[in-house]
Parts: sequence; structure tokens; C-alpha cells
Amino acid sequence: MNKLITMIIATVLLLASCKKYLDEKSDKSLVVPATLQDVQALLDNYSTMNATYPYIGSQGDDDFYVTDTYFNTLSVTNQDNYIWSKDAENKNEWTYMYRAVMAANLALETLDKITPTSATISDWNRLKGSALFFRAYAFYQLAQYYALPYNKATAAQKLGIPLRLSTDVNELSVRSSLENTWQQIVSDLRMAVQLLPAQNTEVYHPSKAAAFGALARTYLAMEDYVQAGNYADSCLQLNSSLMDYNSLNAAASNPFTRWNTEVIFSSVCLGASMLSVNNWKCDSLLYQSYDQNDLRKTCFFKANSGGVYGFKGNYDGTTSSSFFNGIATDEMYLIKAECQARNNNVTEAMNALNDLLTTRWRATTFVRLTASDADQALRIILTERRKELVLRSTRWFDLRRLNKDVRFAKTLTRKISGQLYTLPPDDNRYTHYIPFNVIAITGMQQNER
Amino acid sequence: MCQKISVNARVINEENEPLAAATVIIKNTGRSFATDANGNFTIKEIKFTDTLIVSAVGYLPETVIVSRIPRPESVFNIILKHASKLLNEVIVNTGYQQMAKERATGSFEKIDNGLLNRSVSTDIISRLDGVTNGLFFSKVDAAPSLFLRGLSTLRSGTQPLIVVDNFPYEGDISNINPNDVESITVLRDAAASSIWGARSGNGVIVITTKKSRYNQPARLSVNDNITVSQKPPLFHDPGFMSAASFIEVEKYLFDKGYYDNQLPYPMYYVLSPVVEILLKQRSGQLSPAQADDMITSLSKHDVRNDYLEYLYRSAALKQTSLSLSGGNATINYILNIGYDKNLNSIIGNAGDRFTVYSLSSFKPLPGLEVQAAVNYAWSKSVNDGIGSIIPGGGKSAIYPYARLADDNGNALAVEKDYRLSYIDTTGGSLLLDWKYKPLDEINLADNHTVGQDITARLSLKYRINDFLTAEAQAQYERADQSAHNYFSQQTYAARSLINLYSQVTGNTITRNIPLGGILDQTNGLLSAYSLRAQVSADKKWNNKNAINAVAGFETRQLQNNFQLIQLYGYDDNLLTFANVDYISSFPLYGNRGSASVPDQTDLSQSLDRYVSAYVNAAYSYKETYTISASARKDASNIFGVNTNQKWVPLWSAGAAWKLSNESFYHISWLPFLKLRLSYGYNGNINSSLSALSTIQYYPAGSPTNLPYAALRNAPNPDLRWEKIAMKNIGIDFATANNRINGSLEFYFKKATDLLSPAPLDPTTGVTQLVMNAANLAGRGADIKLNALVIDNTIKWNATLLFSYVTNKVTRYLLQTGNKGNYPGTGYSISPIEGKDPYALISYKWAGLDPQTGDPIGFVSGVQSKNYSGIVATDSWDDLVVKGTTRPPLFGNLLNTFSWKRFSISANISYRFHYYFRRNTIMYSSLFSSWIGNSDYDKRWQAPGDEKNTSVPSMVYPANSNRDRFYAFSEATVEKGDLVRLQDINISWTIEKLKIKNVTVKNLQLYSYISNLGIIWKANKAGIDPDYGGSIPPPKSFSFGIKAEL
Repeated sequence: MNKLITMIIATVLLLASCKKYLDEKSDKSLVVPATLQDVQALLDNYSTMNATYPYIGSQGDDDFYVTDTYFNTLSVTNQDNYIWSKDAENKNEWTYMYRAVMAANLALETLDKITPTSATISDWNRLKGSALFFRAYAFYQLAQYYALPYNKATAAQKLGIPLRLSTDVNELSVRSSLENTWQQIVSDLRMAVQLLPAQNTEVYHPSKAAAFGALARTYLAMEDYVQAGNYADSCLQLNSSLMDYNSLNAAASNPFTRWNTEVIFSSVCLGASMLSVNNWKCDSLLYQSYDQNDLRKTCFFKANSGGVYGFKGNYDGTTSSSFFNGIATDEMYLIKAECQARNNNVTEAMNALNDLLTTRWRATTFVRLTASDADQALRIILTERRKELVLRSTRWFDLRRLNKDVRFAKTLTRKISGQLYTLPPDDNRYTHYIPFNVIAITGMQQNER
Repeated sequence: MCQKISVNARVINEENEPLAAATVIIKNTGRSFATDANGNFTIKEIKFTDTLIVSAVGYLPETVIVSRIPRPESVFNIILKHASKLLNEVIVNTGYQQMAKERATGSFEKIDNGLLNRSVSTDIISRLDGVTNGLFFSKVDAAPSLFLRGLSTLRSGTQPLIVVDNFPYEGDISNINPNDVESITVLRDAAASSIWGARSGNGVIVITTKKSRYNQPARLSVNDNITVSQKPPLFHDPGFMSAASFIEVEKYLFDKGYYDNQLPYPMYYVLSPVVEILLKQRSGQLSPAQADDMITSLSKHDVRNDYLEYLYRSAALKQTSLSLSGGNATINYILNIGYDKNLNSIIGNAGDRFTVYSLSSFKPLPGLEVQAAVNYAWSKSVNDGIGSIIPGGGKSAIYPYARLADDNGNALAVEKDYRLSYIDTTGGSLLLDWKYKPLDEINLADNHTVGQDITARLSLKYRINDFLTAEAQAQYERADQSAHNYFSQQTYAARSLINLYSQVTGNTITRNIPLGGILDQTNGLLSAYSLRAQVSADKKWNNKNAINAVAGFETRQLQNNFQLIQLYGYDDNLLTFANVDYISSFPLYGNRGSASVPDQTDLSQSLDRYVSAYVNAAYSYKETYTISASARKDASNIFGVNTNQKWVPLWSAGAAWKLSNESFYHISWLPFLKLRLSYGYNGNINSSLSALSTIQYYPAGSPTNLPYAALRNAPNPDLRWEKIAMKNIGIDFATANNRINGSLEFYFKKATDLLSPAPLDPTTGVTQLVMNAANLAGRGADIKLNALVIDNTIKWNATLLFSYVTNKVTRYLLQTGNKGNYPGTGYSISPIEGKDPYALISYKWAGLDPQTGDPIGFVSGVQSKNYSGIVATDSWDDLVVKGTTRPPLFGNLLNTFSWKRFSISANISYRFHYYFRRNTIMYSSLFSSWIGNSDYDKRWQAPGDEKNTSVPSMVYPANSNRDRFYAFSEATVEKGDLVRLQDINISWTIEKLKIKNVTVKNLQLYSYISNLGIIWKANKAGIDPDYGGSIPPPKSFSFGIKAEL
């Protein structure tokens, strides 16, 4: 009888400690992420975390055109993106960005289970900051393609993107409000700023400077020009180095090197042959807007036969069509300049711009630009912004943002085989469809297009 | 007269246990009394002439004449015998409790000892074949698989849970000696099996081992038998392609120049002797006449003769079992020892098994019973034989005129991996001999597996009061198995690998695999424990109400370790081995590129843990109405954390109504009629999946040059068991005197949450995941009829089993590629929404082109000879679904005739309404891989042939899409229906035989003949469809003796 009672007690105790008993893995060779090393390895997955960003915007912007012949060889999706078709569906980009979100969430959940010691706290912080950065960085891309442009007045009523903050695949994906989407990006990045080291030896690892840069981009998209300017400045305080284009070999097939001194955080888009040096033809007005002494004219562009120009200035240093869309100091100078201008600090705005442009012009030829008022300064800065950030994925985001301002609103046009296509400012087609299978499975609301 | 007296007595069972709540009725007055906790009862006033009827649940009623009861004070015991001894009173075992089938609400199928011993086999499970209603044995794969009431899963195991006594048996079930088994209960519906929870989805087979009894004199019994089987009927293979036809094709291909591209690559392409002769003729080494002579003499050989002479023999199996049992008032025991020796039909393959089974019970204190059981099995199997010769070098089958030995019986070399004429001479004398002589290999081989399995169980049972019993049980099982495959340097495997990794430069040879043998040593270790604490209640009151309930907790762990070690340069005598460079890549001999040394070494470990709680209760009123309910909750480390936390049990409910007990029931010819109804859920698990997020490491890559990890398995905290809901309606009946009895059961199954790959919302970060996503529906009927047709000096007993079952996939989310991929053999599960999972899908057939003999199919509903288009079609219009390869109708008819001491029984099995695909000629496989088929002889050769044949013409070059289209078209579908004489058992029994001083209580001589063949079949192709295109097993004959002392 005593034995029996003992056994019953033992069983009950066992059930009480059941959770731990059942936590044991069923297959010993399964690598369940549990260590800082595992988290590091997850975030070091370059192809998932750094190299699958969308090129959709670059296919729809006004910096280029393609020939009719080439257009006809394109896949339906690429054609649709080029002519801003109502039917365009870009589903891989969604999948890839949320794959990065999943990895970041898995990293965060793994870190939650690890109690850092005094010896590991700095690594723990850096990894947590990195995971938050990556998540926000992916959310930013998704918000820029799959949600309406941010407008403070209406953001709380409009739909944003689904904010997946856990790895549980059974959790139903629900669209957050546009306001919450951008607030999540801001809060993830702000926390990352607290945790990340000022700079990293490897620019494909997130750093505090990168988080500042991402915050500057985020606030720019939210049209909060005070914050955007401050964060661009914070970023530049950690790294303000600029390349002198005079030292580059403009004749090279790509004059730039991977992870060059201007790169603060390295990421690249998926490859798109439409954007390759032979197929992407620079808008002639844009090309002509570069002065003969502007070294970007030769460093960025390759003359193709027929008097057309392709883009060879990929900041990722390769000749592939996977273009750099990471954070670099030149973009920070431009954000700083734009925000100063918008905040009526004309002198500082022009100083920031001139500091950048000096390095872009043939030595001794550059005459510092001036502006009589904030409006003129802004116009100059935005023109230079477009000229500096060719194929950096920023133009599409700028169009979304600037279309709201009548001074900069622009109707885009394309002509294919005599057929004219237009994209007026603020058109619904600036926002892409959420992939149809996502709508089918989750029942979330589709975008209007 | 009429003197009133008082009576004191005690009611006990044969184990000396007092029976509480037994009913004592005075026959004349109908007054009833109940016994107390100690089984005692007292009747104050009773007539001396009265009669008492004493009864208790599970026991035979006993009639006691009052005058026989001694008076006054001495305790008189009334012993009730177990009801199980009564004909028709069937006691079923769920593994948690035993109950009378008559009072159950669930669907139980009991196979008693007599039926189990009708057949002879080393394993217990195959003895269920043909005698278990609703259980289908599929033999289309090498190892038979069991399906109880059809299919309940798509990707998880289909085998029913096998329970030995009270716990699932985790080891190899072939370790259980059938002689140790008393009976088997098959739990078919939810009310019967859902107590087994998450592992019961495929049904449960409960094996009850033999037990002894208290107060039983010592008993010794012997069972000894020998089984002899014929050699496999190789000549009955209707698909065998003759040597003449094969050579005809070889000559045809030779003339077409088919082999010319292969000549420069002797290390890639094996050539047959005929092709070598033709080459010599072409180069002038042989005259046409010489070549013709040589080829003619080759064509006279049939490799099957050599197979039967050198590779096969008559199989023999010898089985001996000894059993000793007995018991006194407080202790009982049984000890069984068994030894089996098996010589397989493949020469060089054999097996031995030694088993010990022991179970003892004793009662150290009143109310307490301790039971200890040990089951030990040792087995060894030797696998040195060669069942069939696979040449390799691109060839999957041997050419039909191959010779394994010369006229004097000396082993001959057969083409293997590389061209024989090349390896004969290459490398000078530096390489090891590179020839493959199958007959030598049998003698050189040293492959054996030794296994041991020990299962020990201890249980304590304490009777708390007259209706409550507490029980605690623990079981530990440990099984190890080690496979020793040693390839000495003389074996082809070792010589060939050493040669392949050799480099010859001039007169020197470098060996990157050292000389010596190769050892593949596999070690598996299984250890499992189970602990259970259970309380059961059994109470009857007011003579009308009875309750029977169990509740308990259980925890189980199963751990599997596996290691494979490979050693080169190994010497089995000295246990020495050489170190090998596994990293570097070495050039392979004969310009075969380069590769690193094969390294098979592998380690793995798995661990399954379960924590469960269960309850099962039944309440009966007036023995007429019974309701039952059960619930079980399992938690496991293979489920997701959410699943473990949710308190959602698998449950069942059932009701039974014994109509024949009702006062309004007046059908005299049908004195027993009972209706049963049950509904509930069972689960099925798949421990190969993980609910946890797992990652996989990758080596450093561009551009970061850092090792990294990627998600391998997305976390699925909701991962759970597959859920099978089953509704069961049953009718049990018996005619007067039980001449005809039986049951009819109808069931409806709905399996949901089946694990299957499903597309996921990409927002989750994962696009596809194996998850609980598919559904399957099934329904069917199981009918069983027993009839005592003649009850005279000659007795004729007939049992008819009839089952009907269909399955349909009702939800399957993953879209595969083209529908043109669906046609196949139909033997593996192919989930397509709305179809049977074993549907036989074919390309639509439009006959042969009368001009060319080309097969014609359909593309988008239009007749076509665009074969790549046909096999890649994506339209159901171009396909035909013809039934299923699983017979929806199947069953057996078992007739037993007995006359005096003789008894003969024959089991006839039948399977109807199913289809199968016969093998046919595929020219591309014939040309490149030597896979022939006798359909070659039936091929279209001239216009007009299309009227008599569907076999397409031979074209050169062969078109594999054309071949695939024909082979998987409607034209190769055959009806499977058949009736088979499964086996015959003949026995001669004598009771009480006195030989000198020894009394033999029971002596039986028996014979068992199985695989007797097909009585009737629908297909005219001469194929036994139940063996999936392979040759059916030969007839086997067993003779045995059973004696009990």
C-alpha cells in the first residue's frame, strides 16, 4: 500500500513538473536555437537578411525606360510593374521580407530564453538590437510597397501591414493600422539604437549608426522633418565619411567597391534584369542634368550604343543587377540637407548639400551652390537627391512622399508600342496588392489599386 | 418439513478471492441477498428444501441446494467459476480493464486461443490474417501492412497500436512467441479504443499473454512443429522475358548501333555476353557461324534454373515450445520456453529465436496481489544469401540467359557494375580480382543481426473495499539489436571498392582505401518505461444498477539510439582496422571522376515522452441498458506546447440496449438481440515531426564568409495528433441454442487534422509546412456470422467474415505539379481531394495506331501521340480513375468439420471490387536497364495486330514517355477480384491417454497447409494481384504435436 501511495505521489509530481519533462527534444540531432551563437548564425544569413529586398519601386520610377523590344520579353509581373498595371501582383517580395521578419522574431524569442551574464551582456544586447533592426528594416520595405503613403492625419484610420511579432505560424495575420505600422518601425529602431554598438566592423551587421540612418529614413517617409533631420545628423556624427569621386576609376565597369567607406549598412535588392546596365536606359533629361564636371555622370553611367546610358554605379560594387539599397552617408547628407531646408535653415541645408557635392565634382571645379530661400534650397536639394540616389530604391519612395506636395507632384508616363501609360500623383497604384494567396488564406483586406 | 433454518456462507472465485456484491436468490421465493465485502452472506430464515442461485458479474451462476450446506458455524465456500469459460461469454481486454463483451458498448473482436493456434507461424500478428473481421493485410509491399477498418492517415503510420498485456509494445513484435499468447482483442471503434488516446487512431490490437490460475495443479505442455515450404515458383512469373526474345532485342539494338556509344566507357556501361560476342564477330575475331553457335548455346539457358538450383532451397521452420504452469492458494506461475529455427528459402539466410516468458502472481496480504512478468527474446538472423542478382552499371535486372555455374557446378562470373571484358584485363595484375561470382559471394558473406529484448513488468493490485481496487504498474523494456555486416577482402564489395579508389601509374598502385575487409556495424538500442496508477470501481446495487469504471495516470518514455560504424582495412580476427582519409577527394579508377571515401558513420537518438490521464466508466441498468464514456488526455514532447497546455481530451461515448431483455420482446427464434451505438475520437501521432523551431547550419559562403544558419522547421506550437472521429452502429444476435450468432457493424470515420504539407500564409515567413491540414473520410461495414450448420456426430461450423470499407480524401491543400504525374501503380498513398487515397489513375487509352503500332492517348480531350504532352497533361479529361487498389470488399469463409477426434478446417478468403496494374514492357527500360517483360512477345508488329494486342510496337530509339504512357494507361489495368484457398488445418485430438505411468491429458497431432493458391480470379494474365507484381509465396506444409501432461 505504501508503495502504491508513493507511486501515485510520484506520478502526480511528475505531472506537475510535466512541462519540463515534455520540453525534451524528440530528435537529438535537431538544432533548436538556444545559444547566442545560434542567434548570431541566424542573423548572419546574408541571403535572407541582407540580400532579398524588393526592386519593385526601381521598376516603376521615372529615372529610366526600356525599349519596346525588350519590354515584350519581360515576364508579366515585370511588365505590370513597368506600366503600373492595375493587375500587378508582387508576391515574392512579400514572402522574402516576412521570411526575414520570421528570422528576426526567432532570434528575439531565442534571446528571451537566454539570461545574459556579465560576460555575454554586450553580445546579447548587440544581437537583440540587430534582430530589432532587421525586423524594422523589413517592415519599412513592406510598408513602403504594400500600404498607403503615410499621412499623419489619416494614418490611424488607414490600413498598414500585418505586424508579425512572434514565430507562431498559427497566429492569424491581421493588418495593423498605418499609424501602428510606422510606430512599430520607430519603436523597434529606437530600441535598437539603445542596444547596438556605435559602429560595426562589418557593414552588413546592423550598428547604432545604421539604426539612426533607418530612423532618419522612417521619419522622412512620415514627413516628420525635425526628427528625420536629427536622426540623419546623429548618424553622420558617427560616420560622415564621403568618397572623393576623383579617386575613382570612372572607366571601370563599376567604379565602386563593395562595402565602401560611405556604406553604413549594406543591403541589396533581388536581381532584376530590367535594371541591368544593358536594359535600363537612363531618362535623357535626368542624364543631361549632370554637369560635365559632375563625376557621377561618368561613374554612374555607361554609354551604350545608340546614345543611351545604362547604370553601372551599384554601391554594392558588383556588376550584377542586384542593386544596393542600404544606408550610406550620402543619403544621410541629403536627408539632413532636405530637413534643414524644410525647417528654414537655408545655410545649413546648403552646407550639407555642398559638403556632399564637393566630393562628387571634378577637383577644383565645384562652385558651392546657394539658395535665396528655403523653397529654392529644397528644390535644389531634391534635384540633387534624385541625381545622387539613382537605383538605390529611394526614388519610388520619394515619389510617394513628394506627390502630396503640389510643388513636386509629378505624373509619370511610359510609352510602349505607341500605347501611353500614365501614373498620376497619389494614384492608388503607388500601393501594391497584397499577394492574393495571403488574402485567400487570411481574409485580410486587400488594397485598392 | 418446512423447517426454517439459517444459512451462512461465503462466495469466492477460483482464485480464492471473496466476491463482494454477488447476488444470492432464493429460487422459490425470488428473495435476493447480496454478499458483503468479504463475500459473506447470511440468510436468517430459509427452508431446508430451498435452492439458492448465486451469481456475480463475470462469473457463472451456481445453484446450491440448501440442504447441502453444512451447519451451523463452519464457513461454507461457494465457488463461482469465471464466466469466460462459458461458451459465448467472451471476455475482452482493452489493456486497461477486462469486461464481458456482452455488456460492452464498443466494437470488440476477440480472437481466442483456438483460432490463433489454427495457423503455424513464428510471429503472432500474421495469425490474425483471415480470422479478424475488419482487419486487412496488404501484401503488396515486402512487409505486410495492416489496415483496421481502412485508412485513417496520409503520412503517419498505418499500423494499429499493438499492446501486449497492458502496455504498448515498442520492440519488434516478432519477438513475441505466439505460444505465449492466450488471446487477442481487437479494438475497432472509438468506445473500445479511445482509452488509448493519441495513439489509437489506427485501432488497437491487445495481445493477452497466458496466465496461470490459483489452485491449479502443475501442468506441463509441449508444442512442437515443423514447416516445410516449396521453392519459390519462379516459373510461374507470367512476366518473365525469354532468353530468345531478349537476345532478339540485343541483336536488333546492336544492328542499330545502340551499344557503340557505350564501348568507350567500360567503367560506366555493362555489356551482356551476347553483345560481346557480336562485337567480336564485327571485329573479325569470330566468324558469323562461330558467333551464331555461341549465341544459340547461350539462348538455351534460363537463369531461373540456376536460381532454383544455387540460390534457393525449400524453406524449413522448426518450432518448439515448453510450458510449465501451476498454482496454490496464494501463488501461481507460468514459465514458457520457446525455440525456433528457421532456414529461409534463400540459401544462406537463416534465423534462430529463443524466448522465455514468465509470469507469477502471489497474494502476500489479503486483498493485495503482486504480479511479476518477464519476457525475454534472443534472436539471430543470418543474411548471407542472394535473392536476385542486380548487375548494376545501369542495369536493374540480370539478362535471362545468365549462368551462375558451369556444367561442373563451378561458380561463374556475372556482369556487375563494370564491363566484364574490361575489368578482366585492366590494371595488369596490380588491381585485386574484380570479378563478381555470386555463388562464391554466398560463402564469403558474413552478415548477421543479433537482437535481444527484455521486458519486465511489475504490478500491484489492492482491493480497497468491496468495489474499489487500486493498481500500480511499471514496465521496463530494453531491446538491442546489432547488425554485423562484414565484407572480407575476398568479397566483391570490398575488392571492388578498393579497386575503385586505386590509382595505377606504371607499375605502382596507390590504394586510397587500404587492403583488408570492410565492416558495417549497426547498433540499435531501444529503452522504454511506462508507469501507471489506476483506480477501478465495480459496484452493483439494488440488483439493477451496475457501474464499472477505471481512472488513472500514465507516463511513458521511449528512447531510441542508433549508431552505424564503418571501418576500412578491417580484420575480423584481430579486430584491427585502418585509418582512412574521408576528407580528400581521390580520383576514381577508370576515369570515373573523383570522390571522397564513402563514410556511412551515423549516429542518432530520439526520445518520445508522454504524460496521460484517462477515465472510462460504464453504467448498466437491469443488464438491459448500458451507457459508457471515456476520456483521455495525452501530452507529449512531440506535440506543440499549445497542444500540451490545452485540456482537450479525446473522448468517446457509447450506449447498448439488450432488446431481448425487454418484456415486449417475443421473438423466440432470436433469443439474444443487442443494439450498440458509439461515437468518439481517436488520435494518431507522427513522431518524425517537430513542433519546435529548428535551424540548420550552413558553411561559410559569399560574401560574408561566415557560417550561418537558416530556419529548417518552422515552429508550430499547435502541432497535435491527427484526430479520427468514428461513429459505430452494431447489432449482436444469436438464435435459439446459439446455432447462428453474429454481429453487424456499420461505421463512419472522419479523420481530420491529418498531417500533410500545406501552403501557409507567406506572412508567417514560411510558405509551406507539414501541419494538421488534411481530412479523410471513411465508412464501412463489418459483418460476422457463425453457424453451427450440422450438429451431429459430424459437426460443421461455418464462420463468415465480410468487410466493406471505402476512403476518400476530403481535404488536401497542396497542389502538386501536373495531373499527368498521378498515374502509377496505386500502391502508395496519393492524396487528391475527392479521390480514394489508393485510387488507380491511368492515362486514357485510345488503342494502337493501326499503321505504326504507336499507342494513342489524349491531350486536352483530343486523341494524341504527343507523348511528352500526354504524360504532362493537366486535365482530368485525359485521365481515367478506375477504382482503387485496396479491395473495398473482403473477407473469409472458415469452415470447420469435426468428427470424433478429427477436425478439418479450411479458410477461404475473398477480395472484390478492386483493380491493379500489371507490369508490361517498357522498351526504354529494356534497352538501358535490361528490365524485360513477356509482353514483348505480344507487341504490335504488323498492321492488324492492333485487333489482338494493346502492346505498342518497338521503336528505336525508345521513347520513355511513350513507354510510361502505355505502362500507366487504362490498357494495363486489370480487375483484382479473387477467391483464395488460404489454408487448411487438420487435427487429431485425444484426451486422457495413458502411456505407461504417464497420463497425457491432451494430445493433438496437427497439420497446417498454407498458400494453397487461388480458386478463382478475375484477371486472365495469370497474376496474383495481392503480391504487387512479385512472385507469391510457395505452398508450405506444417506438421506438429501438442501434448499436455
